[in-house]
Amino acid sequence: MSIEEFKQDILPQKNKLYRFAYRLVVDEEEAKDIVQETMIKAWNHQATLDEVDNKEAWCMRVTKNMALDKIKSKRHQTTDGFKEGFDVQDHKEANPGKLTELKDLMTNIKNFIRQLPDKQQQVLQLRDIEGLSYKEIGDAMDIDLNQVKVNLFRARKSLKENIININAYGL
Amino acid sequence: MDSKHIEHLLEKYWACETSLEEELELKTFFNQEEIPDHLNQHAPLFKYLQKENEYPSLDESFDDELLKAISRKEGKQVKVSRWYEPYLKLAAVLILLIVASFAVTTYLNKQEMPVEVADTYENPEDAFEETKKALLLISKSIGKGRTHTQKITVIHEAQDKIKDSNNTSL
Repeated sequence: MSIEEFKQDILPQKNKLYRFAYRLVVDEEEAKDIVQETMIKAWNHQATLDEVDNKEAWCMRVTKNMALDKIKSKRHQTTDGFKEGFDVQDHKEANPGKLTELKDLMTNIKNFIRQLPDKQQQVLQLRDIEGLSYKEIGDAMDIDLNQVKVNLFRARKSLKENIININAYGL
Repeated sequence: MDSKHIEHLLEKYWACETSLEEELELKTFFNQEEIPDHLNQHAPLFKYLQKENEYPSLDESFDDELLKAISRKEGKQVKVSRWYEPYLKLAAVLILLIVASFAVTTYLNKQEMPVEVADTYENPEDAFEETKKALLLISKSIGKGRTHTQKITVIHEAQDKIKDSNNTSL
């Protein structure tokens, strides 16, 4: 793999890998280190990577394993990065009251997703946030297609129930 | 956009039957300003999913740092291989020389070797005698085997006689 091929095939995945790592370790700096280590590993294992059909899934898997190792080696305290990510200024024209309500609802969804079992969380993130196919998710997480579908179905089912409950009883 | 179509897509979404394109369609729909009231309850979810797709992200400085790290690694590797290269070449040449000299000396030794060493007899009578000896040795062994089998036959015959005498006495 030349440096040009690396820039074309591997480097553009940085944000996808970064978000995936960030949601696992919940620390921007640590997530950044994980992505850097993943990419250096990809560069060092060019021969292996050349034989792999889906380079993106390979990188995702490496990222996931590195992130899980970091979580294991250190007890992580969940910090809330969502406040920084959700920029209220984007919706200047909206009604402030409505905006606060929307923000609260989104925070509720975020917290609800975080309480889902790990596998459901990861499958939901890879599908609904990153837009990966079922096969790509299976490759990235080392699970079969059936497990991908089952976990996604359960995650969405819980989400739907949560939305219905909020609508019926409020936050 | 037709809200009936969105309702249909939502049903498919909850049942995990939507394609990636249809899911993108839902995200686009719920991220617009005007959403019909009866569908509004689903908006926060799709807005959240869209927002999360943009946050957090890495800037250009990440690329620079990574590419620098890679080129530093590459530089080191090139240096190491340059350091090894002449020694590897020398070792290869030495091995080649040793193998070649060994092959040449073996070939020359073979040529100098007398014909008598070959594993056969020049004189047909000697060969005949040797063959005879070998055959005699084999026949001797076979003879030994036969004497043993003869003993067994004697036992069998005796057994048969006893059986016969038993039968007649009964």
